[in-house]
Amino acid sequence: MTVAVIAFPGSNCDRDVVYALQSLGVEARWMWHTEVDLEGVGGVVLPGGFSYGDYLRSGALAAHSPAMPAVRRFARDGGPVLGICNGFQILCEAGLLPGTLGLNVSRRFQCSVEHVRVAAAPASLRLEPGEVLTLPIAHREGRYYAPPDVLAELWRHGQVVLQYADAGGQVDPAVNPNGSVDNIAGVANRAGNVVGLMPHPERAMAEWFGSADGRRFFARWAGAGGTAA
Amino acid sequence: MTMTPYEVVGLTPAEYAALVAALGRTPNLLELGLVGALWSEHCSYKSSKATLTWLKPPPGTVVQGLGENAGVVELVPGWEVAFKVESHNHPSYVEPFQGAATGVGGIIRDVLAMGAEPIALLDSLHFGTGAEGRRLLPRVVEGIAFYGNAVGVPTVGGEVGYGPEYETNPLVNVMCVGIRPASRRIGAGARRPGDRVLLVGARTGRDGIGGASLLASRAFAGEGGDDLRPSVQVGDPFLGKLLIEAVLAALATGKVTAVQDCGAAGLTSATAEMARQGGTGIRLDVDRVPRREAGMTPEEVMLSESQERMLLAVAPEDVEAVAAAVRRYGVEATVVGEVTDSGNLEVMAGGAVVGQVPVALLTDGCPTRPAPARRPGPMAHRPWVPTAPFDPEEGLRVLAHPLSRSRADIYTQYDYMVQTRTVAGPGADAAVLALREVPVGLALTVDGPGRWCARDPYAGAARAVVEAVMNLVVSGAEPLGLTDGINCGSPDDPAVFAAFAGLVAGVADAARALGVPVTGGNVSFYNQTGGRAIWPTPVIGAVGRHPRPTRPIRPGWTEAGLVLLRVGAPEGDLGATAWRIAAGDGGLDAARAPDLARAAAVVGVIRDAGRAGWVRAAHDVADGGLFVTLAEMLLAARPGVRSVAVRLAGPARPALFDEGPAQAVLAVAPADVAAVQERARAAGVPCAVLGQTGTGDDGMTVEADDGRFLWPVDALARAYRGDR
Repeated sequence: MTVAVIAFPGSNCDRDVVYALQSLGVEARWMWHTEVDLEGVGGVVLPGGFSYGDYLRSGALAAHSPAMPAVRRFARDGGPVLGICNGFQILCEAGLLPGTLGLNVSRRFQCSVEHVRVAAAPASLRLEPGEVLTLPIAHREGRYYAPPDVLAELWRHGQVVLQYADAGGQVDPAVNPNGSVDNIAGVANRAGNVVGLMPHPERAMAEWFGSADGRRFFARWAGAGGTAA
Repeated sequence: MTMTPYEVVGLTPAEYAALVAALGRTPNLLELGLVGALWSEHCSYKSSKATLTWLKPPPGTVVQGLGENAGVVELVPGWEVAFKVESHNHPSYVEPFQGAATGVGGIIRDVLAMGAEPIALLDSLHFGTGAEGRRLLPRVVEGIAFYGNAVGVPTVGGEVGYGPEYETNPLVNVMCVGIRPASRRIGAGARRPGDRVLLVGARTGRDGIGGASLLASRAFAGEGGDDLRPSVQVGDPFLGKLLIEAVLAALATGKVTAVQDCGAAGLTSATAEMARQGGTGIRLDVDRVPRREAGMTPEEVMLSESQERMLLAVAPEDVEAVAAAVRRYGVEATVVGEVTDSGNLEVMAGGAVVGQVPVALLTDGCPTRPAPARRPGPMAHRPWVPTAPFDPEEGLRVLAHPLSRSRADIYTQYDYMVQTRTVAGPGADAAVLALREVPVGLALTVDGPGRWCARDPYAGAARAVVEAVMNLVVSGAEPLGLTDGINCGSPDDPAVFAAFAGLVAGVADAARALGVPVTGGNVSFYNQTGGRAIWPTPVIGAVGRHPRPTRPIRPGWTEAGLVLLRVGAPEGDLGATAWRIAAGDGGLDAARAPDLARAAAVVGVIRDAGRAGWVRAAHDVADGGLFVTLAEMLLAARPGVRSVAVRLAGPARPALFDEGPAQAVLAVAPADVAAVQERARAAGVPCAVLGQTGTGDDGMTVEADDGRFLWPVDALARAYRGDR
C-alpha cells in the first residue's frame, strides 16, 4: 500500500512519519501541500508540527490549505486518514473529526512518554480494545474537548479510540498530561476511516526510542503493516 | 552635551581616527554607520581576537576551525558535523522571550550556512537566585520552546546554572549541531565575481537596528533596559522552519556558491563576511531589498537585524533555478546585489553609490586589544575543607539544590524527540543521537560551570573542558571537537579582561591536554549591569562520535551484583562546589585546577572500558559530587535494584561532595572488574571499588570512617524533584 504523508508549511514530523512507515516496508510518499495527488494512494497521514506557525489557532489555517479538498474527497470515499498531533488538530478544524483541541491545562508545551489505552478499534485501526501502548507526546494544545452531547455520541459509536492511562491501563485523571475530557488522546469519525491522536507513534519505532509500540500502531492502521507485529 | 556622529555609532576617538586614516577621507554618515556596527565588540571581536588565537587547533584536526559561521569536524569519511555555541545574553535580559527565541534561530542558521542540516540544539542557561532570576527563567525557557519546538530541531540537552551574579545578567547560550555530506561543503566565501547575491527569507524591517553595536557591546547602566527594547529582534519560527527547508533545497541544486546568515549587523555584516572570505567585493542595491515597512533609509536597511534572512551567492544563469527551489516553500528570493572584484562593499540607492568602504577595513580594520603579554595559568590554591561532623541531611540539601536537582521541569517543555534521532535526551550525561545517514551516532553536551571560574577562571575553564569531555566518554562516545562560548563583563575593566584571558588559556590548555580540538566559539562581553559583572563563564559545547548509538552507556544500572568502580579520585576540596553553595553562608572559595595529564588518563581509561563493552552503567562526578552521581544512578536504575552499598576510605563529606573533575563511577560486572582496574593501573589512574548494586529498593548506604549513613529511595527522589 502507498501512503501519502502531506507536509504543510510548518509541519515538522512529516519526514519522521515517512521514515517510520518505510521502516515497516510501506511505500510512503512525501507530498508538499500544494502538490497533493492521491491517485493510487491507500492512506493519508497528516503529520505533526506547527502548520502555519499555529497562527490563528493550531490547525486552523492548514484546514484551508490547497491539499484539503483532495483529503476531504479521499475521506468521504472511505479512504483511511490519520492525523497525528497537529494533523489531529487540522482534522478537527476541517470538521473531519468532532471536537476541538485546546491549550493544555498546564498552559505549557509538554514533551514526555505516556501510556494510552485502546478504548475502541475503529475500522481503520485494528488495535485490541484494552491494550496499552507507550507513546510519546509533544504538544501545547492537546486538551481534547467535545460538548457533553457530542461526547456521549462518540462513546456510543466507539469513536473514542485512545485514552491516557497508567502503565497498567487504568484510565486515571492523575496521568492525563493535558486535561482532555475523559482522558481522550485520540478519536475517530463515525465511519472509522478518519482517526486523529495527539501521541506520536512515529517516535516509538524501536526499543531505543523508549518504546517500539509505534510499529504495532502503524501495522494495525489501514493494513499498512508490512512486516511488523 | 551632544555626541559626535562617530560616538553615536559607538566608535571611540582613536577608532575614528584610525578609520579616517585608513579611508583617506571622512566617511559619510552611512559609511560611518556600517563601520560602527562592524567595529562593535560583538561583530569585530576586537578585544578578544588576539587572545583567541591561543585556541587554534593543531593542523589537520578539524575540517573548519575558527572564523567561519560554525566549526566542522569529520564524523566518518564522507560525513561531517558542524556545530557552534552562541550567546544571546543581552537581548534575553531586555526581552527574555524574544531574546531567547531569536538566539535559537540565529545559531540554527549559522550551522545551516555551513551546508549542514540542523539536527540538535542544546542550551546553557544561567540565572540569578533572586526575583529577577525567577522572573526571567520561565520566560527564557518559553522563548526557547516557542522557537525550537516549532522550527523542528530537537532540544536534546543543556544545563542551567545559578548564581547571584547573573541576577541582572542572565546568560542564554545556545548550541546547534548539524550534519552534512562532505560533498555539500560550503561556506560564506563568495569567490566568483559576477555571481548574484540572493536575499532569501523574511522582509526587512526596522527591528533590531543597532542590536549588535548598541545592545551586545555595552554594559547596562542600571535596572531595566527598557530604552533598548526596540533593538531586540523578533523571531518567527514558522518562517525559520520554511527557510531551513528552502535553503537545503537551494543547496541541493548544487548551484549555490556561498551561504551566509544575516545575524548581527544584518546585511552589512553578511555581505562583508561573504566578500572577506571570498577575497572579493560586493555591490548591494538597497532599493531591491524587500521591505516590511516604508521609508527606510539605506542605513536602516543595511543595519536591520530582521530575523530569518540569509544570503546566497549564485551564478547569474542559475538564479532562476535556485530562486524557484526557494519559492516552492513560499519563501521570497530576491537578487539584491552582485559579487565584484573591487574589494569594496558598495551600497547603492536611487541608482547611485551612496557608500563605499573597503571590505578589509570593515572586517579587520578595527584596532584590536593585544593579548596579555603573559599567558595566565592556575592561581595559588588553598583547599577548602570543612571539619564539622557530617550530617546525612547535607546530602539531601545538595541534591535538592537547584544546582543539582532534576531539570525535568524545564526540559519537558522542549521537544527533544522531533527528527526521531534521540536515543538519550536531556538529563543524560551526553545526548546521544542515532543517525540514519551513517552507522555511527553523535554524543553532545554543553557545560558552563560559572561558579568554578568565579575565583580562578583558568582553573574553572580547564575543569569545564574536562567535564564536557567526561560527559562524552561516560556515554560511550569518542570526543571529536569542542566549541566555546566565553561570557564575561566589560573588557575595559582590567580584572575582567584578565579573567577572560584566564578562561581562554584554561580552555586552550585543557583541550590540548585531552587532545580535542577547539573549532571555534563565541565571545560575549559587557555582561554587567550597574558595574557588577557576571562570574566569568565558559560554556563548553562538545561533540563526540558514538560507535553504538542505539546502545549508549546510561547512568541507571539494571542489575544487582554489579561492582561500582570510581575512576579518578577526589581530593576532598569543597571550594566552589554545590555543597559549598548549598551551605548557604554566602561563601564560595575557589575550585582547584585539574591535573590535566591525570584527566587525560582518566578519559582514556573510561573510553577504553566503554569500547571494550565492560561498562554496564556510568555517570561522571560533577555538580554535587559523588553523592549526586550515585543518587542519580540509583534513581535511574531499574525498580527492584535500586539499592547500593558504598564503602569510602576516610570521612564521608570530602569524598561525597568534592566536584574535582575527571572522576566517574562505572558499574561493571564482577568478571570485568579486574580488566578495568588493570587498564587503570597501566594508565596510572586510581580505580577504587566503591561498592555493589543490590536487590530491592533499599536506597543508598554509605559507610565511611565517621559512620554509616542511609538514604532511602523516596527521600532521594523527593529531594531530586526539589520538594523537601
